[in-house]
Amino acid sequence: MVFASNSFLFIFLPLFLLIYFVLPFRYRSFFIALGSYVFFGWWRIDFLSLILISTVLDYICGREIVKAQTKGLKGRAWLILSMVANLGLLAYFKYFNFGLDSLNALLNIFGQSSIHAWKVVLPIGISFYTFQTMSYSIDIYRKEAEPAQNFTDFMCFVALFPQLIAGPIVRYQTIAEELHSRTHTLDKFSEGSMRFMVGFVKKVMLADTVAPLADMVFGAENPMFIDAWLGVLAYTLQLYFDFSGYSDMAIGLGLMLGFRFPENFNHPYISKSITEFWQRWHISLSTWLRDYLYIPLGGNRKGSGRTYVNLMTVMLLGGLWHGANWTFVLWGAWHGGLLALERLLASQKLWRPLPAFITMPKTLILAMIGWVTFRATDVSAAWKVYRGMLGLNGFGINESIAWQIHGFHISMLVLGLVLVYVAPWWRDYLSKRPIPQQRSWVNIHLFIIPIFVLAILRLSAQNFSPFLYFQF
Amino acid sequence: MKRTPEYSNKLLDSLLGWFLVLMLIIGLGLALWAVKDYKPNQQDLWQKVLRGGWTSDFDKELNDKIAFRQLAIDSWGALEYGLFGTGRKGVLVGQDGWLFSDEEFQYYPDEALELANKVGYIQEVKDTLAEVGARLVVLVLPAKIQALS
Repeated sequence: MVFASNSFLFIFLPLFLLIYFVLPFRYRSFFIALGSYVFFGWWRIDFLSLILISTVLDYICGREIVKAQTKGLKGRAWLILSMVANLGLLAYFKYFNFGLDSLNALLNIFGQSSIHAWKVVLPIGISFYTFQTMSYSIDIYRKEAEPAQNFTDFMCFVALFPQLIAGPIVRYQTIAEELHSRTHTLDKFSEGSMRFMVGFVKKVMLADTVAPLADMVFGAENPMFIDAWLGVLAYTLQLYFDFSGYSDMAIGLGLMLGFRFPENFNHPYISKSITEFWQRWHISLSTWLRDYLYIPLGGNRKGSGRTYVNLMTVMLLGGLWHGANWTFVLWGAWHGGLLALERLLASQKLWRPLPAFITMPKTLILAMIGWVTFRATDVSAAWKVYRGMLGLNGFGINESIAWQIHGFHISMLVLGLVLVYVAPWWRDYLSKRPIPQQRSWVNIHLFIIPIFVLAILRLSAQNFSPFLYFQF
Repeated sequence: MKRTPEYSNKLLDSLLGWFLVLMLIIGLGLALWAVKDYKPNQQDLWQKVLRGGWTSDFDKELNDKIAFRQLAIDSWGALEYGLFGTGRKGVLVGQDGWLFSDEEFQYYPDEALELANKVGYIQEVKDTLAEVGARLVVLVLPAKIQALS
């Protein structure tokens, strides 16, 4: 089930909230788990078994690690079991097809015939919930978190439907307290409603409207300079509004249920460097990779050469986490290389700080170049777009694309671009005002109501609106 | 009275929450009304329930029959046409209010392959109809733009 659908908005959510608020508090976490299974099972019931396996296994591993530690042991065997099981599930369901295709390509190069096997269906959300359950076992092993007090709390944590299939990746200790005592107030519910509506509008009005521009260019045979850059800019905004819209909706739904999830985005396109970009984009993933991969690999504590290797390793694996395709590996390598380069330039004092009007567009362009491989179906498709961006197919606009570009697409593209830069300025401006003034400005947020209604009508008119990050 | 945190309007502050609750209640009523006659197709029902086919049928029924769907299509169509002079997906607005199907202008990198695919599809439809004793009559019409130019 997706948030931007009639079945979620008008059947699942009202029925779920109705029953949730009628139930006494002690049954609510169990009901969240139950509702989350319905939410996930709406896509496929059979893959619910994977969530259940992950839940039971990590609950047991967490408890056994603590038991072993109370006896003076480390509990490493239980941690290894958790890692092997979670990574094994991820490896099979996410990377089996990719591994086989890559092996067959290699065999074909050496004149051998391909190996034929079954195709594995990728269960939605597997990358997210396996990372969550792994972090639970690791945190207990490191004595940074207490194990779940009961199985219901843990079921609720793993299955929590607002963030089950596309994040933010929440760690157990972040919501441990709220799992057994959280407040439900009208103010919190209204704050959550606001976040949910903002996210919905971002997704349906902005991301979905600019999506055809990106699809046209990435599907074109010979995009030219203008349409290639226009299409890549459209994808840059589509991905941001789609994914940050989803995160807003997740955070909003969490607030309605009394949870406060961590923020996942902080205006990434105003970053002045790629290093800063990764502190603002998909924050829950980048902190996960930092805490569970970069730092254990040695981080920056083992000399500069090792730091660069660690950065590259983390970004390559981060790329691969997004999808089983060489395009994601290249995207990870691009970002890993840029992070290492920025670190080198800073350490050697080879780079004087430049003004924001240069560094902000520079970072945006570097991110856009990366998004081409991220979006393309394969490396040759990415190269077609790069050719267009370099002007190798001409500097004009391809006629086969031009006639399909509508005023509405361009208006939403411009509006999206304006919002990317005005929203952080607005937030800063508001936070510096005296509190009474802030409150009077908050009323302007009521404008979200008519825009939300328009977005619901748009969703109904276009029927289906999948999220880009579901594929990861 | 000047509004301060102490004297803020509680109703205004919680308006978004109340609004969403109202929307969800109205939406639930409309959604249940839309699917009141829905009966799942019994063929391979167990497989469909297990693998999600049943829910996608249900979603389709809900999307098609929800009361404000036509209003949504009409209002967004009117808005886009009024503001930007563009039609719905698949429609191209020409000069003097002439409307065209955008497939007439579609460019395919490999025209021969596209033609082969379409002929293959027609053949598939013809075979399917033949299985139930119906004959497909193919009528080739010129594109509207060709007829008008």
